[in-house]
Amino acid sequence: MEKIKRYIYIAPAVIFIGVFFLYGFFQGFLQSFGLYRIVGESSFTLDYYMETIKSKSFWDSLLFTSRMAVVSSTVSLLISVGIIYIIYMNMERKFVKEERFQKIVESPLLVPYLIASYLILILFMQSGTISKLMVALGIIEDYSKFPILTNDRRGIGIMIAYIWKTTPFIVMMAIPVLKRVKSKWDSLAHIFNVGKTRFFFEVALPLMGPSLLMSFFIILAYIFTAFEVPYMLGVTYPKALAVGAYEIYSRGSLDDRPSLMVINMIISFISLGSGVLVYIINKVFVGKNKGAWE
Amino acid sequence: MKRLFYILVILIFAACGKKQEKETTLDYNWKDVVKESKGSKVNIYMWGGSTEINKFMDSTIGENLKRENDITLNRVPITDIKDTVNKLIVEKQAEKEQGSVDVIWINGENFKLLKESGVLWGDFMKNLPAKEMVKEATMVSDFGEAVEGLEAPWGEAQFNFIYHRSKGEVPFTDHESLRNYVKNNPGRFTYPAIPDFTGSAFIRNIVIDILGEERAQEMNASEFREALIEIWAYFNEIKPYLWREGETYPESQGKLDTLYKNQEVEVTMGYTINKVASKIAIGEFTKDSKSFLLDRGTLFNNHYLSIPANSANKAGALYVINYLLSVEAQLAKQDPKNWGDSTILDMNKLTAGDKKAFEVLGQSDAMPSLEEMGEKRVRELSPEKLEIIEEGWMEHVGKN
Repeated sequence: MEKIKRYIYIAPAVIFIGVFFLYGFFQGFLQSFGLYRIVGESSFTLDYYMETIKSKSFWDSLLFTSRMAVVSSTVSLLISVGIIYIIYMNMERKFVKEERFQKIVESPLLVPYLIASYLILILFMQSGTISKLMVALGIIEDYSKFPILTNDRRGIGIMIAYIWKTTPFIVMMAIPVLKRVKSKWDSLAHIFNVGKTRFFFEVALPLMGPSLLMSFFIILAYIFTAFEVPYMLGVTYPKALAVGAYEIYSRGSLDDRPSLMVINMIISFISLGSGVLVYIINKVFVGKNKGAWE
Repeated sequence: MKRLFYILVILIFAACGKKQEKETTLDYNWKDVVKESKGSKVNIYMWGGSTEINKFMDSTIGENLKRENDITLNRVPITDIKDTVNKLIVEKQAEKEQGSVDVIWINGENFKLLKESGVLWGDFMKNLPAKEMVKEATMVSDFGEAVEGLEAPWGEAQFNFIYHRSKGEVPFTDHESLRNYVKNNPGRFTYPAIPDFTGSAFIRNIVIDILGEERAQEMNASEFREALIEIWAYFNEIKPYLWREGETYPESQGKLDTLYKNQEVEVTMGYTINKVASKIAIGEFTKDSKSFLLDRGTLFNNHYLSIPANSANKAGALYVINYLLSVEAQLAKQDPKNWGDSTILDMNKLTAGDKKAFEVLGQSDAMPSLEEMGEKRVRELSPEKLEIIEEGWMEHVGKN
């Protein structure tokens, strides 16, 4: 009986994922091989994969997307370590009320990506708010002197948007761990008279490592598949993979559908790979450090 | 455990309990349609990016339908109607019989896509009472694709450019003067990139301006590809003088409007003729904005309403479409206060009073006159050529 109950409880989740996610994924997977076509004859073929792999614009997009994802998540990770350090010091010294401080840091999480990119756009575009302010203050002559930070080849605007959005996520994921470390090891640190900064970097940070790394890969996978930010802040060429896929989808005739699915499959497999990494990190590191929690 | 079982049983019965309604067929009788649609809800899926259009549909049209036949018009706003087109295609694949879309607002390639996938209901125009007054020319082909009664014309749009008239004369009137204008004003002009609808229309318009309307229409696909080489050379020639030196283009019409509003560029464009008036009205554009056309003409097209085969309320859909084609609704639609979209009714078939009413409307000093719009217009290219242009631009211009 207990056993059956268990299956009934997870059934809704499984059905939901099965119908809305796995089924769609499976369809896309089949379509990428030229099967299950909407129009025309269906037959198995690897042509679409070959075509995609051979196209230069695909590699340019892949490179652009990867660079964007790696740089943004790395910078986010570094900044969040800094912020966590400040939060830790604040816990100790109580400069500001702890909860309030945390709320402020986490506030960007409430803003949807679409709105975040629009905010970055109106703030940082050449004729945007910051530029206008600087002209008014006489720092620059006119808006054209303002550096190009949005819709730029290097993707600076995209990275600003991602860093602003994802840093709070890493912080939020790490804080519970920090609190646990503090409550477990704080007294010991007192006994051995370890300084606060040293305690943070030598005890707390290594114990937060797996959580930080996990957040890092989650963000990496997310940025890899995300659409809104590079759509609004990116350039015409090279496009982020998801934006490129959207372009085929919205421009395309139905004959292009398999090529679109190929890109979607590649995006899916890369982020899936990231997921596997998260799982491994979790298994290996958290398992290894178990002793620290007992 | 037992309780769960009962719940399941109840759910199954509840699902079966819904009464099967009488299906409306293509050889419908209008009296039955009116009777069956009374008190029903009709879902209309349409692009929701314009406040004016949304307000017009919800208040004027929605209220009139409610009053006349107790129909509730449920407008579903869509960012890109392609999403709905894809939804319908997927629904067909999944063999979903009771779809949520009753009326869809489409034209051109989306129509072609729906027609080819066999998603549309059929020749519902055949028996539609409002058909009598509609211009014959609008019911023949949609971007070169035969209409065959699968969709009903609803309105007419014409491509136009917008500039600040306080800055002097119209900046350009054809592709030659555009080239000179761009070269003399580096960084002050750009257009939205493919696959944006407006950007695509701009490129098509220039293609027609260079090749000539007749020639562009008559060429076959391979001749057309050949001819485009000259066009890509033109676009690459002006590229270094565009905004951001052509390194990137705005991804949407909205972004171009923002650049125009912030005065980064001097010209914006749109495919609805009253765009300038409505943007001035909401305070987004300055009062000195004025729209203009090209001497050899800008693109015009018709937009249509259609009914998917899996619509759950076909009678309601027919009633709504018939109302939208009526003199009353068309007149309200053409009123610049509401939407300002040109009518598809045949002026020669209307009564003298109705004809007069249409003529009085649509005069604003920010827009070209009706006569000018009637003269300076060129026909749309086929979806096949549109695809060739879009792919070609991406390959030869966008990527470089």
